[in-house]
Amino acid sequence: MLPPTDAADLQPPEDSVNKTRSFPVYILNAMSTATVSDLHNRRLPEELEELFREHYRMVYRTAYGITGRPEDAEDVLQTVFLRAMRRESAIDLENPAGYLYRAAVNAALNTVQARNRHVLTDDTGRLESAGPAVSPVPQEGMRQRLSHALTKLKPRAVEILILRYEHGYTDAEIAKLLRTSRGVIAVSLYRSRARLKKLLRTSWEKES
Amino acid sequence: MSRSKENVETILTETLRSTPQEEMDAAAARVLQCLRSESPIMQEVM
Repeated sequence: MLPPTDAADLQPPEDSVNKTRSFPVYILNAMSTATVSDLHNRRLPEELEELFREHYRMVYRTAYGITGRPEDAEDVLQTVFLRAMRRESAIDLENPAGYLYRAAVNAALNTVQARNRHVLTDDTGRLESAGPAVSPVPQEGMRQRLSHALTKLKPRAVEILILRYEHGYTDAEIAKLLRTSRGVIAVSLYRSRARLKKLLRTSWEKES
Repeated sequence: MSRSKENVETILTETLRSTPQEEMDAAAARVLQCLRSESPIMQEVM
């Protein structure tokens, strides 16, 4: 469970302190300039804190399902709620879960795409020096292979896949959340699985 | 290619749904703290 609301009780566990390295620079700057008493005085708007407590698991699990990395999931969680706090995009108050879920999927896909670009850039360097035998596909196990493949699907298809396989929703529940029909969901899942199968097979063939 | 690799449904089911609970809650605590530090000073609560 999430710790109590008092900021003093929200110190990260010792074993996770090194993870602050993965925080965006502007967050680190903000933290370094905030005094302890600032932190005691600062409170999120009540409704945003409520929104966070109600939906952080869904956002984190979504991001983790797509990125396959806890540090990326944490960044996504932070990004989604920072944007909400700064009102960079208006929250759909009638369907906040749907809004946050969509935001989490998009932020997570952007994270994986950015990571892939780094890998490809690195591999381009290696290709130039080592010749065409080096594969540009990341070799990071099934999780990362799946993350890479998910970025090749449309965001809407990823939303549906993650709701089904990460959150365990039924077709009917997905249809309700995304405000569409069960038929649309069933077709999307069928097509996504077929596409993923192809993408994963290509990935394995490149590896072998 | 192994049989399990052929079955994308199995891959999705086995690969996803493995979010580490403790890690998630620790991350949420850190993020909440960051959000508060980013938030304008709203009020003196105590």
